[in-house]
Amino acid sequence: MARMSGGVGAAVPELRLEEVSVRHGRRRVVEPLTWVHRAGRIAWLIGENGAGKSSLLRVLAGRMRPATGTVTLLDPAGRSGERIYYRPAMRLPGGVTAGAWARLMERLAGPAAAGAEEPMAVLRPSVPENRLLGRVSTGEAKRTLLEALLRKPAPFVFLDEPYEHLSARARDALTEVLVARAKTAVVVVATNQPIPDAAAGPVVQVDGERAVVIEPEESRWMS
Amino acid sequence: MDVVNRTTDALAAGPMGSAAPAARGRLRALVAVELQRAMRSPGALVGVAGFLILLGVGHWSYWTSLPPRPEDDRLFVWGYIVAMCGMFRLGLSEDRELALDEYLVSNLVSPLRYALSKLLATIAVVGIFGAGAFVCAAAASAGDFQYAAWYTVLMTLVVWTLLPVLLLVEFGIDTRYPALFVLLIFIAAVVVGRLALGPIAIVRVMGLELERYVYSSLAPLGVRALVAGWVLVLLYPLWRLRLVGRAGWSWAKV
Repeated sequence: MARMSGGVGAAVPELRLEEVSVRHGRRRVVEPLTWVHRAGRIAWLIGENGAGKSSLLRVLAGRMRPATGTVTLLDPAGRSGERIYYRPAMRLPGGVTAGAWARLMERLAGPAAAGAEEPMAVLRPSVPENRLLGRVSTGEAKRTLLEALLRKPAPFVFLDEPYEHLSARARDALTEVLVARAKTAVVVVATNQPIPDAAAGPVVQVDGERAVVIEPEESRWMS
Repeated sequence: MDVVNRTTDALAAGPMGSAAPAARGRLRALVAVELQRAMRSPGALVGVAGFLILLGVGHWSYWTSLPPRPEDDRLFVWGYIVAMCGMFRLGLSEDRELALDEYLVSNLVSPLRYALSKLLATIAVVGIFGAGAFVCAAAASAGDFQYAAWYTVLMTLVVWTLLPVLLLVEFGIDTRYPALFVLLIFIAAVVVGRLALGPIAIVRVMGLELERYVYSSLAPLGVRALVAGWVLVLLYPLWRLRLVGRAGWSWAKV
């Protein structure tokens, strides 16, 4: 019997896992998992370092083949191939100015948010145009990468440790962006950080062998 | 309250309700960034400095020798090689190190556009450097345009024929200076070829049977440059396969 989470009834993007298991080298890190998640709330992958949450996220995002089972992404609008995938190893090219990078992202991902108070604008760091990206802080670089990706209207969003190195204000802005996005898109976030109260959603706990799906109601009394 | 609702709706829609950016501008923007990366890299600066120093030394030696002066390249070729060791790169292995290929190809650009931007930026770098080398050589030789043009065209063709080798090096080796490996492979090929085929045969195989200032003698090298262009096209599927492990296609059923 598949665990089901997220929106019910409405025609929204859906992520469907059927008997999906994940291997890390020769070691199986996730035993067969069957789970359906629909847009509506953010789904969280949690677990210790090395437990397999990043591997599972890579499988969900289509970046890695599962050891067994199938992952299905369904979008009623027919944009199932469009997805966003981010992992912390992604870095900016050091020899490019912030202005040139911003112009490139405008072309590739679309225009940036205009209103200064919008969460997307808060997420975007204010870096002088002529500063080389090799000289921005780690947090500014992460925000630059994430903010550009989140401009893209993909129905599937897979983020691995997006809160790492972010200031409290940027974390709140990111949470606000993701909560809003999760209403119309499947958003799955792998994290080691505490889940923000405003973003409670189904949790997949990975412990290096099994992956257990916990609904927000269950996770509240568990914590 | 209305404002909050509008903001939330706009966020849910994604990119602020904007139309998709024009496709043709994407490639241009990518090439511009790649060009900026290449021009600002420490290797490019060291390479250009090395070229200028060697060209200066070559011409100082030329102008201070008594007539009849030697009819050689006045260290242009060595200078060009030094420069290319620093700046001849596609940047694929550097992107792998930064996971930038995965960031771009997974999310924002097609593999073909990514590949094209790399190639066009590299061609632009070689072209810009070639133009600069021509001007410097013409100036150092006191307006000997024949000399400056001959060596610039010759070296540009040699570099172009080595592009597929550069691509293969960047597939296999994680380095910011792939041209150094191309140079090593070139030297090894010459040494082995000399032993196996003899010195004349290896020069002929490489299309370097040249007669100074006779442009028709560049034809064999030109043919090899043309073939190299097609080899690059044939290598594209391999390039894409190399991307798969990092940022390629989805296994998910859609």
